[in-house]
Order: sequence, then structure tokens, then C-alpha cells
Amino acid sequence: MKKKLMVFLMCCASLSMIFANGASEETESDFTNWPEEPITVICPWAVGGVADLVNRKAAVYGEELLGQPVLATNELGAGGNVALTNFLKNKPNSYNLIFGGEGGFSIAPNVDGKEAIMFKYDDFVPVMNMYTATFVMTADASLNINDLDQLKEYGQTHNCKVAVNGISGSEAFLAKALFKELGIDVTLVSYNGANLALDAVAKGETPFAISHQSQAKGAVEGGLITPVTVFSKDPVSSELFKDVKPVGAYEMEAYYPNTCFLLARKGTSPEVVEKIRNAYLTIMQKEDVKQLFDKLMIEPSVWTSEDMDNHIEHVIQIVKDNQ
Amino acid sequence: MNRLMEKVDNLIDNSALKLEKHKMTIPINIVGSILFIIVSSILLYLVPSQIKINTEAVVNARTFPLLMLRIVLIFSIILLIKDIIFIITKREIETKELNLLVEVKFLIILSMLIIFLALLYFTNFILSSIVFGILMLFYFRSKKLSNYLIIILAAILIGYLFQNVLHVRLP
Amino acid sequence: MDLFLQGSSLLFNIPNFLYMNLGLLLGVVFGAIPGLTVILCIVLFLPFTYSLGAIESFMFLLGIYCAGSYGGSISAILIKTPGTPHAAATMLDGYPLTKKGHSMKALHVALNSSTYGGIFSAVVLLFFAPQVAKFAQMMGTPEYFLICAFGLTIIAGVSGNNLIKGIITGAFGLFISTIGIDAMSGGTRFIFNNINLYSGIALVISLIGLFALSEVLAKSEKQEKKEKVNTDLLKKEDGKLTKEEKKIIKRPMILSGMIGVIIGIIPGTGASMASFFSYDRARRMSKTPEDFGNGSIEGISACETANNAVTGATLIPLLTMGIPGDGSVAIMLGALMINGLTPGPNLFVENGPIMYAIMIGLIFVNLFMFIQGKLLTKWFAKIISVPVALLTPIIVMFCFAGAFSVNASLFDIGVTLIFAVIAYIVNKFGFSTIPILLGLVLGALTEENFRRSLVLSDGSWSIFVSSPICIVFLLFIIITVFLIVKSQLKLNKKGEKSEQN
Repeated sequence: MKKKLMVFLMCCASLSMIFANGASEETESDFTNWPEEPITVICPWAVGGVADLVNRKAAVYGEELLGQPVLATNELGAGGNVALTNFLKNKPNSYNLIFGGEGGFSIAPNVDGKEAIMFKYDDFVPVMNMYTATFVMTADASLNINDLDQLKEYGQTHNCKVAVNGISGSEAFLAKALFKELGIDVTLVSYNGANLALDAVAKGETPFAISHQSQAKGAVEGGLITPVTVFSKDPVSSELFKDVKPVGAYEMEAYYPNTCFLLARKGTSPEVVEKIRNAYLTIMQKEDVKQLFDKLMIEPSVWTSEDMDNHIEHVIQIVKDNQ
Repeated sequence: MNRLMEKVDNLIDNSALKLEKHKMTIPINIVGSILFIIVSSILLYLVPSQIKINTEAVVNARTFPLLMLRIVLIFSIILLIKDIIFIITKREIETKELNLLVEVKFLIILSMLIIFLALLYFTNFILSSIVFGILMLFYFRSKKLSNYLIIILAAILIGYLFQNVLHVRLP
Repeated sequence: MDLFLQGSSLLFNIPNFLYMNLGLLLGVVFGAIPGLTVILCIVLFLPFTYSLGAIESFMFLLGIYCAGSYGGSISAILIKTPGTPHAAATMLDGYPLTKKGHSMKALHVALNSSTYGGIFSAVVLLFFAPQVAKFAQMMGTPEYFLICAFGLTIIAGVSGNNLIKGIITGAFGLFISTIGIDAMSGGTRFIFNNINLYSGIALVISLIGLFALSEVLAKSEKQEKKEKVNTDLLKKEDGKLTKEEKKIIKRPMILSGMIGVIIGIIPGTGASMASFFSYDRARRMSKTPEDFGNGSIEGISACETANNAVTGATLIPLLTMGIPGDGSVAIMLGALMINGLTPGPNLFVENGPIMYAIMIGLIFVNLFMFIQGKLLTKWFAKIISVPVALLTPIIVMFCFAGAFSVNASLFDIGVTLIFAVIAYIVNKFGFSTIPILLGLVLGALTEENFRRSLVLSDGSWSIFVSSPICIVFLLFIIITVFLIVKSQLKLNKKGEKSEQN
């Protein structure tokens, strides 16, 4: 009952804001002093994870660039979806911002359990993309598979098992899309975490795994697993994987990066959005932020809001095609 | 004032005595197993609507929960039958004396916990904790003013500790 | 040897020891207070380490981790409310001792055993990490499943006097563990379209309800005035162990240390499973198994040794393979990453001195935990002299705040209340809640590894006899089940005989 009331109130709030926006031309100057309070950036994923580390690093520079302290926090549950749901309680121009990505907006609303998803991408205004992270596919080193041609050959005679982190994660959909394009069968084996998926390959339980580059780094350097391909159009910039032939180089389309959007509540004034965006773009240029990005093997990508919209749509398509 | 308190005290004592007289002895295994039979049957009935599957694999998302619910059901039935046989053969079964006073007290504590939770929806943590703490002291019929002060202080301290020292968000 | 010296020289800096002790203090407090967990503590203070060096931050985090593992026993012993899930087994014997006025003794056994377990695992980490890592690499999904299945036989040991009742609540706990998104198929189970049930019920949420709040509800059964524990007895007791007692707990300690290490290297299992396992083993091996559940120091010692022996062992797969064994260690991965240390086979080659500093440091973490514990025990023991009327509402406040903090959700507090009511009702009918907890601890792991095994083998059950380790565990399971059935039959016969008499 309470929830329904909440949704109703939220609808009212957002509706009134839509109308308020229409007439806000004259009142825009209200935001010249923005922000007047500390800003909170919520990371809906684990403490100590890539997004959390970036969030906390960036927050350090908040006061310098926005004039108000930026607090980095985490709110966990359901792979980020609880935090995104709770975020709807915020009003436009709220001092709370949140991270989100294709997991919440492209995948969750289109897989099992979608009935529980109460938010949509349209409830948010994308401010910027914090980073992109490219997935990498790795193979048991003893198989000696180093590119997609060799994989295809292997797939003719073997049932390819791919270890992934969760059956409804990006890794799983990338695997399905890629093997579909290659025209070979795939069985996904879901593990509870990317580290365990990689470990399965390292001990020969499954021949392949898909993970983030930073997660695979240790085992690749140790010679236990070898990279097969990276899920991007162009080669990646990291030292370890820069020579790996990307999916895009095979004229295939089964790739997308993992993103981390910084989002505000829908109806937030464009002036505010612009202010935050500019501040964060400057932060991304800081030397130690760049160093952190290198350590985590992620890339700063300046995306327009159109790029972000397209990304969400693109992933929805891949998810729908590979149910 | 004191006289009023005494009166209330007496009233509570008297009604407690009355409640305490209401006793009944229940065969715990029989009641317990019937309870689990009901719960597991309801859950078993809900499985098809709550766990959707679209595979023909022998072992799927339903296998494990179904197995567990069936174990609950079957062993509850065994427990029930065992005690019924015991009754028929006139052997002793496990029983427990329930006392209405205890159950009323249980309901009072439970409703105080629920009030605490409900308050959290409308006010903040510290305020709700204070109200709950005072209710709890009423329950224990504490008459020391110092206890009430300590509880208020504790609520404020815990709230402050969580929010400002540990940076945990509270309702 | 060279690395050993280099590591030591890196470790012996005052800041390292300062942060270590700060972490230990925080860990004990978070571990002891019901509702506050070790993971929560690490989550809260991890950002604080982002500005520290690798060794300092690791000493701090390991301090929290180890002391938290010990701290849970304090509240389990004193107020019958385990501060952490793995202290639930400690409660079974710790609280009876408190009731008898031996709380200091129980606390000392817990501290001694925790320290021993911690140091044992730290030594294993320091000297045998490569060998243990190799052994860990030999175990895969089917082995994990069989170990979990073996773990389920513990239900028989914690069911009290009625095995059937234990099986019922155990299976019920296992069922509850399936709520949420199914990791293998991605489908939802019993979430009633509620986003808050999406990722299932967190262990700590159920723990608060099953043990802490249910204790509050059970206050209804007691006459308040009589509730005060024997304070006179408490004053006289210094808690020192006699020679005889020291001898008794030696055996369970040694065995539990090994169990803790073995469980610790298996990802996803963690300290709760280790302490239940050890409790069960110790009971089976004890000369006085009837004391278990009535205040056996062997029981306390077994649980506490095991759950602290997990601490060093979980670091082995973390450092050598980058596999975090439990939630706390998973968060520590972040601390490694931010310092540019990538766990994996090359970690020890590239950062040998730092790794040795951390591993030697772990031994000192445990030593300082012992010293702090000795100093703090006296203070903690005072808790039981706080009037129930004050202690009860304060515990509830901590429980509510703690339950909320897990997911910042009031819904979770509601769930703990439901668990509390369930516990109250099943206790009333003579069922034990420990099997429910055991089911929650083992459920997801058991099911996932079972189904993953079948995916890996394309549906063939032969995967469960595919390796020597599998066969050994299968034999263990068969023997244990046989023994359980045998002892049950014996019990029944005894019952019949005594009736006839």
C-alpha cells in the first residue's frame, strides 16, 4: 500500500516537475549558486569494486570544483536495482546523484524478474559516462586458443562452455551474441563472481571465461589463461591486452563496453547537469585519477547524452536477440 | 501520583494473575507438525506461480525448493503419525504447558517492535528509538527515572554513533 | 629467507601496529554487537584505507577481520545473541556456562581458542601457502557440492533430541535460502514481485531475527525479577582454566584448526560452516558428548578455533589466485587493487616483500588480539549485570540499526521481525532454530554447486565420482549418515525399553 502511495506521489512530483520545467525559463537563474549543499553520489554496487573506487577518488575533488563537498556512498542490493528504485524518491535538482549502467536499464527490464523493476531509464537524466570497461574473453592456456578463428575451429568439434559471472549479466549476453555470430554452440556456466569464473578456467573446469580485463590480469600474467578476444570495436589501450584482436576487427557486432553513467533525477535543470558534468570532466583529467584508471584497466570516455541513450538501446537489442 | 501508579500496578498484577490461570497443555509435536504441514503445503502450492521455468532440464530452478518443501512436508507427517501412534498405544508424548499470560506478553513485545518499525517509516531513528525504549521500560514496569534518562541518552548516542561516526545511513 | 627478512623490515613500523590495533578494537566491537557485522565494519572503514599504504591498510583490515571473527562469541556467550553468524554454535555452550556463572571461563576459552586458531592459520599461510593453493586448485565444483552435502549432515548434530524436527527446520532453512534470483537460471523464486527480495535474504538479517530479536520476544516467558544472572557467582570466578580443562580442550582445538583451514580455502563457505563443522566433529569425538549444549568448554573451543582458523586460510586463494573466500575478503581485494597489487600466481614474485610483511603481520594481528581481548574481557563481562529492562531495548536499537544498514531498507527490518516470530513459534513447539541457520548458510552453495556440476557434465551424475577427493567425501557422507541412523535406532530402542520399565 505504502509503495503504491509512493509511486503515486512520485508520479505527481515528476509530472509537476515536467510542467515546472516548461515554465522554468525565467527561473533558471535560481541555479547560478548551485550547489548550496553537499552532494551525495551513490554507487549501487559493492564497496571496493571498480565503480566504488572511481566514485571515491572523484569525490575527493568535488569541493575544489563544485564548491561543496561530494560524499561517495554505496547502497547495495539486487545488483544495483534496489538503489535505483529508491533513487526515484528524489526530486529533480536533488543533491543526490547515482551511478547506473546497462545492467539496470538494458538487462534487468528484459530478463526474468523484470516485474520487480520499478524504474526506467527515462526516470533519470544522464550527466556523463564515468568510464567504459571492455570485457575480455579468456581461454584455458593449454588449449592454445588466441583468436576467434581458432575458437571457431575448436567450436566445430567441441561443446564450448563459457564461465560467466551470473546468467543474466553482460558477460552472459556477450557470450551468447558472439557464439551466435560465430555459428557455434555455447553452454553458459554461471559462477558466483567473475573471480570464480576465471578460476574455473584456470583449473580447467571450463575452457573459456568472460570477465573484465582487471579481473583476468593476474591469471593471464601468470600464464594460466590466454586472452582470445576483447569485446570492442578497436583494440584496447591496456598494456596487457593491447595486441588482442577485438570482436569488431572480425566485422562482427557482438560487443559493447561496460559503462558507469552518472545520473540525476529526471527533471533536473540542464544548467545543474552541465555544472556537474563540467566538474567531473575536469576531475577525469587529474593525474592521479588517470593513474587509477590505468590500474583498474578502464578508460575515460567522453560520451554525449545521445551516445549514452544509444548504448542503452544497443544493449537492449542484444539482450532481446539472445534471450 | 504515586497512588495512581500503585493502582495501575495493582490492576496489572491482578489481570496478570487472572491470565496466568488460563493454562492449557498442548502436544507440541502434533501442533508443530500440523503447522509445518500447512506452511509447506501452501508454499508447495505457490511453487508453479513463484518459480517460472522454461527448460526441460531434469534439474532446474524448481528442483531444490520442491525437494526441500517435500522434505518438510513428509517429515512433518512422519512426526505427526509417530505421535498419533504414541497416543493410540498410550505412550507418553512431548507436551508443553502454554500459559495465556506468556502469550499476551509476547504479543505486547511484538506489537512494540512493530510500533518501532512503523515509527521508522514516519520519523527518524533517534525519535523512534526513544519511544520504543520508553515503551519497553513501561513493559518492564521500571519506575526509576534514571532508567528513562539512560534509554533516551542511549538512543541519541546510538543514532549519533551510526550517522556521524560510522556514516551509516539510518531511517 | 631473504624475503622473510625483507618482509619483516617492512612490517616493523609503528604505524602498521597502530592501524592493526585500531582495526582490532573496531573488529571486536562490531563483532560483539548484534546487528553490526564484520563485513559492515570493513565496508565502512575501507575508504579510510584508500589513503594508506598496502601494508598499513592490510594490517588494519586484517585486524577488523580477525577480531570480528572472535568478537561474535562475546555476545553469544553473555546475552545468548550471537554477534556474527559463526558465533551461533558458540552460543550453544557459551550461554549455558554464563547461566551457571562461568561466563569469564567461557570468554577465556573463546579468546584462547580464537587466538590459537588465528595463529595456526597464519602459520599455514606463511609456510604452506603454495602447497595449500595447489590442493585448493584440485577441488572444483563437484567437490564443493559434496563438501556442502557433508556439511548438511551436521543438522543431525544440532537438532537437539529429535532428529525429525531438526530435519524439518533444516529443510525449511534450505528452502528459505532459495528465495531471490536463481544464480543458475536467472529466474526469480518466491520474490512476489518485490525488489527487496531480489537478492534473497541476507544471512545477517535472518540471524538478527532468529537469535537476537527472538530472544527479546522470549522475554515474555520469564519473570523479570528472576532474570538477573547469578551475579554472586560471577564475582567469585576468575575464569582461569584448570590443568584438566586445558587438557580437555587441546584435542578439539587441534582438530578444529585443521577443519577451519580446509573450509577456509573453499570459496564461498566461510567461518559459519567451519564452526558448525568443528562443533559437530568435537561432539562426536568427545568423551562427554552429553555435555554439548549444556556448557561444554570443548564446544566453545571447537567453534572459536575453527572460525578464526578460517581467517588466514581465506587469504590463501585470495593472494595466490585472486579468489575471495568470503564477503569480507572480497572487499579486501579492493584494497589490493588500489595499491596496484594484482592477486595471482605472479603476486609473490613481483611483490614478495609486501606479501611476506602481510603474512608475518597476520601472526601479530592475532597476538595483539589476544592482548586486547584479555584487557577487554573484564569489561565485556559487566554487560550481564546491566538490568534487562535497559539492555533489551538497547539491543533492539542496535539490531534495527544494523538490519537497516545492510541495504538501507526498512523492508529488511520487517524481515527480521518475521524471522523473530518464526523462531519464537518454532521454539515454542520444541524445534531448534540452529538448523534453519545452517540451512541458510549452506543452501545456496549446495544447490548452485550441484546444478553447476550437472551443467559441466552435460547432465551426467558420474561427475560426482570423477575424482579421488569426490570419492573420499562421498564415503564420508555415507559413513556419517550410517552412524546417524544407527544412533537414532539405538535411541529409539532405549526409549522403548525405558517405557516398558
